[in-house]
Amino acid sequence: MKGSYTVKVRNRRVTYTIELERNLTVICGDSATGKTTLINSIAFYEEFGDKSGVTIDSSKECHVLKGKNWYSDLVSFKDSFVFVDEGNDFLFTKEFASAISKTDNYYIFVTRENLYQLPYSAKSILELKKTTSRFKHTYNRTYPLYDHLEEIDDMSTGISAYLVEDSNSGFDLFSLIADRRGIKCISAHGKNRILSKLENLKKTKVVVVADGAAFGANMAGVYDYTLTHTTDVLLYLPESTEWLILSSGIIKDKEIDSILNSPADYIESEKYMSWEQYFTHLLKAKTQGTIAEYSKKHLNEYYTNNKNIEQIIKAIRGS
Amino acid sequence: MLNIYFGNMPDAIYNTDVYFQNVYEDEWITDDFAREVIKKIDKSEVLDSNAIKSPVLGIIPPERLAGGTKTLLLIKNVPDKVFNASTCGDNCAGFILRLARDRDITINLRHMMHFGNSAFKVRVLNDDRIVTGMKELVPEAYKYV
Repeated sequence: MKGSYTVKVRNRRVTYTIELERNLTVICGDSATGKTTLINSIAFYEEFGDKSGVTIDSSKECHVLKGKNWYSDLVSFKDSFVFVDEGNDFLFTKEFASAISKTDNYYIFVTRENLYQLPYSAKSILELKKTTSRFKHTYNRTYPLYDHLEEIDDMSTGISAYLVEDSNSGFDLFSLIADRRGIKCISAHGKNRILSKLENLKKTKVVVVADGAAFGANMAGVYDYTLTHTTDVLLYLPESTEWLILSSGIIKDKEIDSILNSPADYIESEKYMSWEQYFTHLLKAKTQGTIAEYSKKHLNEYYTNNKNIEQIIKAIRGS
Repeated sequence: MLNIYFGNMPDAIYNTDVYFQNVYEDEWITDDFAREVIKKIDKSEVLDSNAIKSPVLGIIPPERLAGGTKTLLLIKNVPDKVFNASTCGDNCAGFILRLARDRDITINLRHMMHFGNSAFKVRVLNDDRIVTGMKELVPEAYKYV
């Protein structure tokens, strides 16, 4: 499945509007915002259809996955939106992560826990909020949980270090950018090590650089760290290093522009578990056999010349 | 005092919703604590032990209270069990701290709950360390969640 969707679930008293843009979405937030009522309404509709009293406005079928038979139920779901409520501990297993890879469904998980085995985006962490009440009817809608975070437009003033999730091409790229500004660049050697590295960098103003497209599980930890160490840590979360390079315009290609304008319309969930994987594939495919041939392991020298680095820096400012 | 075990805790009751539905007693719903929690979290009014007036859902039974409310009532009324308090949103954190003022409470958290900016005292059971606020709790908790 690919594309962006709006799902509306309604009963006599409440309407829920859910915006989906990627294959993996997490809904969390305060208690009593209607998360479980939403899932129950979908389950009623799944069981009884129109005779449930629930109306679902969706271009795809909606299913609720739960209980011991989750695996056999899952294999029967095709081209659907699959919802999982909290309380289902299979959600945290490697078996589940493996079972949903290479499927053509979009998945929506209700949980506050970090799903480290799944590559979901920081932008796909949503919360349900009431928008309005009219004539005894309440309208709830999903909003991105971290939407209030401001984009960084200055990666140099007062910054002492970049802490980069990556240790390969992404690290090479940000090392070059940091070097030009006299800033130290450190690799965390993986996103799960960012917090422990931050602890070692106390009293240093740091920009954490990570692939936002797959940073969902780590977002809460780093965000909570910024909340409790307010002045010390900034976040720069492009979709991925490859997305940043593609966005810089270094590789001239009309299709790239169209894709970057609306990635959801191009990224097939059955092939790509995360947008990060897709943009790596895209950059490799568009540069294969050329002077700019991209490798994830080491940054091709083509990207390190003055003109191209400046273009990438410009893309950072504009992203 | 509040004791927290972070991460997977096999002995904890994970699906608090199911457990609540099968064990709750009428008086859990009508005591002062429950009335206050239901008013604050669910924005609802307890009419009697089987009827709660919700502004969104109408008259509902206790089974349809918020997941966080059910877990708070379990923590209060079943002191010999440990419950997965990751079914509670941050809007439940103040009530957990309040329950822990009067007696030792142990909860299991599988995510980082925000207990607010004021000082508090929590024992992290994973490495038996006492922390006194969010700044200390965050790096400690994220070793495990």
